Amino acid sequence: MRNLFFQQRIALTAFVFLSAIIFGAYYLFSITLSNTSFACGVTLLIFIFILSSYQLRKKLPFLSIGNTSTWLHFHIFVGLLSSVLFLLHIKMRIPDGLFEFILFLTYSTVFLSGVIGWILSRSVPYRLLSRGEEVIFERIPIHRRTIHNKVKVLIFDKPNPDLGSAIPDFYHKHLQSFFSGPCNQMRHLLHSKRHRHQLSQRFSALMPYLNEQEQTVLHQLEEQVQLKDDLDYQYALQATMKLWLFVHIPLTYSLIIFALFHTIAVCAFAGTIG
Amino acid sequence: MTEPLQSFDWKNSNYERPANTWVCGHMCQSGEPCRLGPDSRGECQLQSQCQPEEKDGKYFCTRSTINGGKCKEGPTRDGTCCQSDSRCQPRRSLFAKRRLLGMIAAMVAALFSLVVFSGSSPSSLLIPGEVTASHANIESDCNACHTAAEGGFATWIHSALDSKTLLNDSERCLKCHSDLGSDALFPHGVSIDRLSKITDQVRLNQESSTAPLALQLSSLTSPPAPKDKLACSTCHQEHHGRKADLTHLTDLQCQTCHTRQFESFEHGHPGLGDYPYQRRSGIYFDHQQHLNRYFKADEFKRTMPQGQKPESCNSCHSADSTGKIMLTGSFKNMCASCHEPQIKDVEFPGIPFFALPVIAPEIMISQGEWPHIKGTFKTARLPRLMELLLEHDPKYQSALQQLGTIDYRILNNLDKKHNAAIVEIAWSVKRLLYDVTVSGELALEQRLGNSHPEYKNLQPSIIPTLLLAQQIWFPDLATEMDLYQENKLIPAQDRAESSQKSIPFTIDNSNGWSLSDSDFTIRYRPLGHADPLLKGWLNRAVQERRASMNSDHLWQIISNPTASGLEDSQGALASGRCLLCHSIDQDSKTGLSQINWLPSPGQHSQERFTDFSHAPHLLTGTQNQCAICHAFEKSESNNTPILKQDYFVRDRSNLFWTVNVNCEETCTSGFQPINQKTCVTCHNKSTATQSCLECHNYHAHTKQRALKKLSTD
Repeated sequence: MRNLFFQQRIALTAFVFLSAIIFGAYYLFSITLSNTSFACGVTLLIFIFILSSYQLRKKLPFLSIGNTSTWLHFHIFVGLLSSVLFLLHIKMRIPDGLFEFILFLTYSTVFLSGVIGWILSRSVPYRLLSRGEEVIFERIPIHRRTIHNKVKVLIFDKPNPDLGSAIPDFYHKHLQSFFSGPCNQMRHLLHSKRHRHQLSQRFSALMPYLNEQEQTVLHQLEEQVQLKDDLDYQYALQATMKLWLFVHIPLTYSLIIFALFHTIAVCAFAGTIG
Repeated sequence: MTEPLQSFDWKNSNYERPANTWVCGHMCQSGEPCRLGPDSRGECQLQSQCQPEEKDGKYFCTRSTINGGKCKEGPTRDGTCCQSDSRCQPRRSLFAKRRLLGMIAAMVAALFSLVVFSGSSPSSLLIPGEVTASHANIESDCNACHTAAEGGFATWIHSALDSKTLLNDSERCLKCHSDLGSDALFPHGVSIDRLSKITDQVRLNQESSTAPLALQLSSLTSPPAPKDKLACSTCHQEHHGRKADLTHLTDLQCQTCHTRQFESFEHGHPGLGDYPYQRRSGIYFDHQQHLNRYFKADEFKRTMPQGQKPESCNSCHSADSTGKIMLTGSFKNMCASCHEPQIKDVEFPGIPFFALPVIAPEIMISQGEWPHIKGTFKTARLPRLMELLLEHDPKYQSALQQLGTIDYRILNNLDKKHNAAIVEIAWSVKRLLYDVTVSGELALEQRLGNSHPEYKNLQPSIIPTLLLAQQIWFPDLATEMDLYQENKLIPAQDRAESSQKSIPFTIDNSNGWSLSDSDFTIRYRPLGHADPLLKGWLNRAVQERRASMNSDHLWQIISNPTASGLEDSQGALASGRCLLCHSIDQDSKTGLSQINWLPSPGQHSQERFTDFSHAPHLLTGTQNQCAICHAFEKSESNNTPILKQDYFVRDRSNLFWTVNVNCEETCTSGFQPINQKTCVTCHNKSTATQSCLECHNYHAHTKQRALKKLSTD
């Protein structure tokens, strides 16, 4: 933990230092009437290629060019630095032209989704450990079905004739949709337990009207509800950790293409190579 | 205590491959995946039905263990499998969906970009932003500013790789901004040689100053090379909105190329030197004499305009509509009351342009009419215009050769052997007059040829007066010329008889031309200030024949301050003293000279690095506020000589003025240069009005920035 904190301090110091160098160089070059926008733009384009190479690195795990964790830290660091260059490149103002505005919007979305992903990757794992069982995301439908099957067995397989229809009715009315699929995802993301409290109240309300055996079944049902709810919690959080990439990665491709065309236009119309 | 959901033992936990493209459809629908899963093409590999095998008349289930093993029910009697087809429709994995989305995003971006970049000219979607209001009318025409816009994508690629694109684009700027001079793309719009000279002058200045740290550090980068052309976009960044300031530059940016760098106008700025009096004013005017003597002494009061002495600078000077320049009052309003009589010079008879020499009647026997027979011709030479008009007359030139050195004052005293030559001179004059009668102005032009353009098309024209002279002096000139060409003798008519034949006439002197019947001379008497004939003649003479102008007889007459055009007269003052007040400037590049008819420097095409506007400085309402900046030069006497020796230079004969066009050396203003400390009292850090662009132009040859700045102010 102390090592991690130390690394973060070094990274922060390096970021501040490099940002200061970028700002300083920009200022000095602007004094000499150099084309600072072009310099920033070219550097930014290089940064974007470096950032996108992280995806390539993940596809080539067999190459011994540093572990993924190091690459991720480097990716985040360069990404943050790119925002400094981006702000200087656009001179802290929103572009007026449609094509450039789209490019601005694309970069901003990619950058912000990256920041959100970074925050999620730092916060969600701790939350995942705090509740429920550690499960593989792809297997959650299987576990959901297993729980549902258990619930059905508890309610509908009636070896004891003393069991009435109260529990099946309760299931049809309040539990069937709950066990059928993922529920309350937004509440899980917001760390709310209101839905569980509501279900507990319904269980408590039903309890006085059941006989002893039915109460036992209801207790077992309550356990399954908790298990399913924890599973939904895992699903909601793990899905969130995966879904931000649906914004970040596809838009990165768009960003690269827009940036390349933008470079051609700038070189042709602003004569920046000259 | 519930059982754990996740098993991680090798039997109950399949190896998950999230990077696979397809996942089992059953997994997605009901959470019951088959063990096989879909293949790489997205097809279900499950075979719930088998092909029963017949053995000894019985059918046996052949379903493999991987597909669920042999079923309990077994095949039907007819040998078909009893199981239903439970194959699923595999679905894309999250990874595959993300990859697909990435491809779609890339394709959409590429398609959009290709649409924007396609076409023979740039799409409006590509415009990076609005241009400034001054360029708004050409915003839709990319081709007006960008060479790349001449073609489509291929042209753009070519332009992108062309190192001269920026300069080519800048050339397009100059199509409209043509007032920036021929060296517009060089630093400050001046030639490299001129810039080198200025730089050398700056280096010679020994004043010490310390460059700001930022400039010292920025010198480690790559400031623009002073000998290279600079693209307009180096300083003027377009497409930043209608209200963007295209000319904004910081003081550090201004100084980045400069040899001498300093902190601010308040600290380290080089002294102002003799600004704003580096050059003489367009009109020579002695302020000290006027203010300290003529405007004070009562003896001059009667000559002042309406008898009122000017009380302040504003009496003569007022700001123009922009407030930039302090205009000087007109000659008529400000100067005429004193100086008009000097110019009109009532005693001056006029400048002779045409004169009949005195030829005795005995020489002109049988040679027709010659009216000027008595008296003495007053000058040794004919008037200059006549000389020029006869210059290409072969008979006249032949006569001159026969006579040798000719002095028209003693023409009748020559030996008789020269009579024939004198007669030829007389006929040359008649021929000249006859030509004018027949062809008018064209005759003058043909006789003058390409030389002496200053005498062509004199306005007002001499032709009507010449025609009148012909009618009065030579009424039978046409007949005489016919007889002369036939080599016949022409009897001289009785003077009384000829005057009876002549048409009655009235002499109109209102246009300046006069015809004297006493000395048979046509003169021009200047009408007053801004006389059109002298102004036109001087303009052309200064522009096209300045080198030889000092030797021109006409110039000698009008520049002679002691004589009134006649060598033997003692006129009080000379007419045509235009150049005593109106100075001449010579363009160092073209060598052309021009007369400063107006006092304002606006007529000069010289470089202007400093731009001052009076308007913001005249708001205080203080009395004599002009004197705060424009202080007289201090001297023991009030009459500081403001003319340097060579402002007006006498020629060798010490009689005529010669023209000096060295505007930087000829005179002083009589004022002390502006004191920088005076400026600093207002233009300092606290008022934030000490930026370079407050006073300086980058483009030394344009007036637009100054005008724009004024309109903003």
